[in-house]
Amino acid sequence: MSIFLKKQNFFFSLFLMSALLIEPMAPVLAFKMPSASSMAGDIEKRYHLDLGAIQNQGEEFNTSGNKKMTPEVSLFFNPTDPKEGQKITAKALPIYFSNNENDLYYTWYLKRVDCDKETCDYDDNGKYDEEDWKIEAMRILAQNGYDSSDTNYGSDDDNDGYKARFGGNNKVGHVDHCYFHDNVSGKNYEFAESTGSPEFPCPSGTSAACMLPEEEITSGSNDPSENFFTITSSTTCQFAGFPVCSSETSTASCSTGTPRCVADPSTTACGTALSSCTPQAESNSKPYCKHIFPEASKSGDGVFGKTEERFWGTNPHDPDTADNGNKDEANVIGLGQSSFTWNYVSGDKVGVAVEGTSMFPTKHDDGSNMIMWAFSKNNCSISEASGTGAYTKTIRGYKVSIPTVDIDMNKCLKNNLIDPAEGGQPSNLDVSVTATPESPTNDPTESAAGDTVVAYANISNVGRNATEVLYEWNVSISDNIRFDATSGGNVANITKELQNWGLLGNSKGNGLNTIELRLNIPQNSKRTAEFGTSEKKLGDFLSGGVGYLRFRVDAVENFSSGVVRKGKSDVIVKFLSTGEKINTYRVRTITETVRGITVGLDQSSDSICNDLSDRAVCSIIKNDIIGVKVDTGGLSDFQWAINGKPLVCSKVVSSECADEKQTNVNFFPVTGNVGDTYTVSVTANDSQSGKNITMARTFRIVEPSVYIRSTNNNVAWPKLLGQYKDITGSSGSSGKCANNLCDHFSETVFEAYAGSDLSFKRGFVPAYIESMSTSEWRLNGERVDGSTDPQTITFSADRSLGDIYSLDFVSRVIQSDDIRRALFAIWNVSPFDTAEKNMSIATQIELRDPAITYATPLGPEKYFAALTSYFPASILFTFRIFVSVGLILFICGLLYGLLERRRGETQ
Amino acid sequence: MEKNFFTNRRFFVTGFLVFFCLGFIIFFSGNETLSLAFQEAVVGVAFFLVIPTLYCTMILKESLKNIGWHWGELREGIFAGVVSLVVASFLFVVATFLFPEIKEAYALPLFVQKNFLWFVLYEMILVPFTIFLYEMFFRGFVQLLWLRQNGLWGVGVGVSLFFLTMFLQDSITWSLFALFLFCPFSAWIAHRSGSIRYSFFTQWLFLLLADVFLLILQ
Repeated sequence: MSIFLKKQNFFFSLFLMSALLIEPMAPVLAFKMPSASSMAGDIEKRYHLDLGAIQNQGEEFNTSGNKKMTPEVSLFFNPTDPKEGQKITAKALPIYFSNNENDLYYTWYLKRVDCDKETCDYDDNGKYDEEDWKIEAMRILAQNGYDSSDTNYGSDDDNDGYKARFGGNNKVGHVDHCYFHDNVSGKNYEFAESTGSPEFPCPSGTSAACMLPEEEITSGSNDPSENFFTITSSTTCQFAGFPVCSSETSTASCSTGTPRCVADPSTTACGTALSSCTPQAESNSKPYCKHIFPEASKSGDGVFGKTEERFWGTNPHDPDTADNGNKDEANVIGLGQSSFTWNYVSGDKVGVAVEGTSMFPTKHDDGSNMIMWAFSKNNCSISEASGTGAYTKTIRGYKVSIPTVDIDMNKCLKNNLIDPAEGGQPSNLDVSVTATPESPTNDPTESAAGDTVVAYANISNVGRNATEVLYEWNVSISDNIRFDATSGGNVANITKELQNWGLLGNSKGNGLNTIELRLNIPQNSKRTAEFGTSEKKLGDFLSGGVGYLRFRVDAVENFSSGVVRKGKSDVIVKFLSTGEKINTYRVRTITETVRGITVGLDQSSDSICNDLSDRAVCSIIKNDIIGVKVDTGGLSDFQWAINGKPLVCSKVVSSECADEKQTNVNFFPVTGNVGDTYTVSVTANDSQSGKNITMARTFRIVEPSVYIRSTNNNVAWPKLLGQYKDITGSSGSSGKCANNLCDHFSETVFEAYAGSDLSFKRGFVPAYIESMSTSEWRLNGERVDGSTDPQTITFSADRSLGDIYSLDFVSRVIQSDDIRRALFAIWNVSPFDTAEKNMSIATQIELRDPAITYATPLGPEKYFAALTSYFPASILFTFRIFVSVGLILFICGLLYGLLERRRGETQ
Repeated sequence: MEKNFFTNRRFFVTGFLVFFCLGFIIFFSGNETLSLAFQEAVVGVAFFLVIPTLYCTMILKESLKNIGWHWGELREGIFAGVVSLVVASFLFVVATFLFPEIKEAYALPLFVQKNFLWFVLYEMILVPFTIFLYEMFFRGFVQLLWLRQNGLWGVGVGVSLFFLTMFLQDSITWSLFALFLFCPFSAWIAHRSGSIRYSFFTQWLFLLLADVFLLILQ
C-alpha cells in the first residue's frame, strides 16, 4: 500500500512539474506544438494515471496540514461497574505525545456530587469549582492513603520540592512554546497574552492578497535580429497567497506576487495596490506558557514547605508520602501519574488533563515542538478563548505569520468530566428469566389438575443483597408467540385476574425472584369472565388449544445515594389448555407365548404423580418403567415424543400399543441418572376442533429416600435449630418468615415432653415406591414388630427427662423380577443395573420438661418488645444510663436513710 | 468507732458514691454500635453532673452552694484565679520549650484548625462543657462537698483522684498537658474561693490561651 502511495506521489509530482513548465507556453499556439492539456493527457495515458485520483490527492494535500494527529488521552475504568465505596481506578492512556508516559504531567480532577462551596471549597475562593476538583483528586494521589491527622507540621525537613518543566519532565533546556489545537479548523494557536493581528488598510469590501500579474506572449516575425516572442503585460492577475506585515518596516510583502487589495482572490482582477500595514510583532503578542496544576501559583515551583505539606496532607518528614517513587510536589502536579484510584461514590465524575510535548514542530527557528494539553474527552473548544490573533516573525529571512490564542485551559475541565458509570458501562441490571416446565398444560376444568409453572429471575450483576432487589412480575397471555396485538392477535395482562383466581401469589416484592403459577385458568370462568381490559375469555387467547404466557419481571435496585439501577426481562412459555392430560402409571408385566414378556398399565392402583408437588415435575426413580396415557375422548392420531425424540410403542412393548400406529398409551424405561429430566409429549388430533393439540409431562429422576414425621407436632415437634435469612424472598413476609428470617427446624431431631404418647409416620420419595418396598421400624436400635399400621409407630415416652430416644426407619426398594426381566427383554437394561436400593432415616427424640417451655412474647411483653425495637440505640443507651443513675441514687438514699436510723439507735 | 461511722454517714455515703462514679467512668468500655463520643458525653453528664447535683439536693437535701455553685469568696477567687493563670501560663510556656513533645502531641481537630468559626465554637462550647463536668465533679463534688472539712488535704485528694482516673483510663498523654498542669491550680482556686465558678472560668481561659499559643507556635 505504501509503495503504491509513493508511486502515486511520484507521478503526481511529475505531472505538476510538467504542467508548470508547459503552462506558460500555452498561448504560443501559432506553430504546431502540443498543448499542455494534450501533453498532460498523454502522460496520464502512458503512466495509467487517473485524473480523478490525482485531483483527489491534490485536494487532500491542500488540507493535510490541518489533519495531523494531535495529543489525545482516553480514560479506562476498572471496575467498569463500580459500587458505592469500592475502590475504582481510572487509567489514562495518552497518545501522540513525544514524551514517555512517565514524563507527562497528569492533572486529575474529581467532582463529588455531594460537595458544594460550603463543604469542599478547598482553596477558599467561595466557590466549588475546577480548582477544588483538582485539589480533591491530587490530594488523594499525593497522600495515597496516608493519615495526616497525627502529623506534626511544625517543621518540614524532607526536601521534597519539584520544579516542573513545561512540556514534560524530560524537556530540559528546551524553548517553551505552548499551543492550543482547534479540533474544528485543525489550526494550532500559540498561547499569547495579546491576541492582536497584523492589519492591512484595504478598502471596505476588499482583503489583502498576494496577486501575480499575468504576461501575454505573442509570436513575432521570423527575423533573427528580433525576438521571436513578444511579451506584454496583461491586466489580469493570479492569486498567489496572502501577504505578511513586516514588523520592522510596517510594509506588506509577498513571497510571490505583490500585495494588493482585492474583492475576490479567486477572480483574475488585480485590485488596488497595497504597501503599508500595521504589524503585530512577537514582542507585542507576548507568547506564554502556563501549567494547569492545582494551586498552580505554588505547585511545581520547586519549593514544598510545611504550609503546602499541610494543605496537601502529605508527610513533611517523608519526601515520598505516596511511596510511588516521586517527590511529594511531583505527585501534587501528577508527574507520571497515569492511574488514579479512589473510593467511588455514586455521582462522582472524574477527568484528567495531560501536559506534554506533541509531535508537531513549531515554526520557530529552534529545536522546539509544540507543548500541548490533552483532555479526557478531548473536548476543548476555541470558543472558550478570550480571543485569537496572529503575529509576524522573521524566520530564516521569511516573514512567518503565527496564529495566537489567549485561553484559560481550566475552562475546558468541566467539559471533560466523565462519569465512571456512564456510557458503555453496565449500569443496568442484567436480568434473565427462566421457566419450567417447558410445555405445561393448563387444566380449565373443575378438577384443576394443571401444571405449575415456576418462573425464576436471575440477576448476574446485582450490587446488593438479592433480598434488597425489588421485583415486579407481570403475566400476559396471547395466542401468538410474538405477543403482537396489532396484527389481529389477542394480548392481555392477566396478573390481577390470576391473583383473583388464587392461581398466582404476590407479584411484587423485595427478593421475589421466583413466582409460581398454577395453570388452572378456567375456560368459561364463573368467577371472572374477563381478561385484562378486553371482553375476552381464555378461548380467545388460544389457537388450537395452544396459548402463550409471558412472564415479565422488572427488577429495581436502590442505593442509599438515590441511584437506581433497573433491569427487565421476560420469558415466553407455550402451554396447552385442555381438560385432557397425560396420566402416569406404574406398569405390570404380561407374559405372552408369542411375544414373550410385555408390559401394560397397572390400573389396579391410582395413577401416580397426582400430588400438588408432583404436578409440575413428576418424581421417578432410576431403572423403572413408566406408563403414560391420555384419555381418547375426541382425540386420534397420537404422536409421542420424549425429550423431542419420537417415543414409539409397538406390540413388542405392550399389547396396549399397536404396530401400525401410535395409540393413547406409551411406556418408557428410566435409564438416566439422578437429576436427569424427561419431557414426554403427545400430539393428537382433536376431532371436535379439527386441530392438533399437544400435551406434555415432565419427569425428574430422584434418589429414592424415606423420611419420618411426627403425626402431631403439639406432642413431638421438630427441634428449632435457629433462624436463617431467606435470600430468595419466596417464603413470604409473614408467619415463620417474618422480616425474611425463617425458622430452621431439624429434619432428624424431635423434641417431646417426657411421659407423653409419641406417634410418628414415615414417607417415601417418590411416594409410589412404597408399594415396592419392604421396611421396618427400629426404636433404640431394636426392631419393632407387630405394628398394626406399618405407616406409623406409636410409643410412650416413659423415660426420664433429658433422655433421648433413637428412632430409625429402614427400607429396601426392589423391582419385581418381572419388571427387571421386562427392562432387559424390551429395552436391554442389564439386570445388574436393576438391583435393590436400601434407604434409611435415623432420628432422635429429646425429652424435655413440660414445665420449661419457650414461647414467643404475648400481650404486653410483645408490645414492649416491639416498641423498644423501634427506638434508636442512642435513646435506649441514654435511658439505660439514667436508669443506672436513678438506681445508684436510690441505693445511696436508702443507705443514707438506714444509717440515719442506726445513728439514732446508737445515740 | 461504730458511733463515729454512723455520725459521719455523710462522709462515707458520699465517698461510696464518688468511687462508684469514678469506677463506672474508668471501666466503661462503650458499645461499638454507637458513637463513642456520644456515649462518653452521656456517661459524663450522668455521672459527673447529674449524680452530684441530685445527690446534693435530693439525698443530702443541701443547697448547691455546698458543691461550689455560688460566687463564694469573690476577692479570693479573683486573686487566686489571676495568680494561677499567670503562674500556669508561665510554666506552660517554659514547659513547651523544654519538652517538644507537648507541641508534637498537641492536636486540635483539623476542621477547628482550618476554620475560625469552628475554632470559636470549639472553644466556646466543647471546651467549657468538658471543663464544667470536671470542675463539677472533682472540685465541687469531691473537694467541696465530700472533703471540705479536710482543707488542703481535700485539695490533694481531689487532684490525686483526677490523675488516678486519667491514669487508669490511659489518658496521661502530652496532648492533655495543659489540663493536667492547671488541675492543681484549679483545685487551689476552688479551695480559696469555696466556689467552682472561678476555677472554671480561669481554667477555660488558660486552655484557650494554651490553644492559641500552640496554634501560633505551629
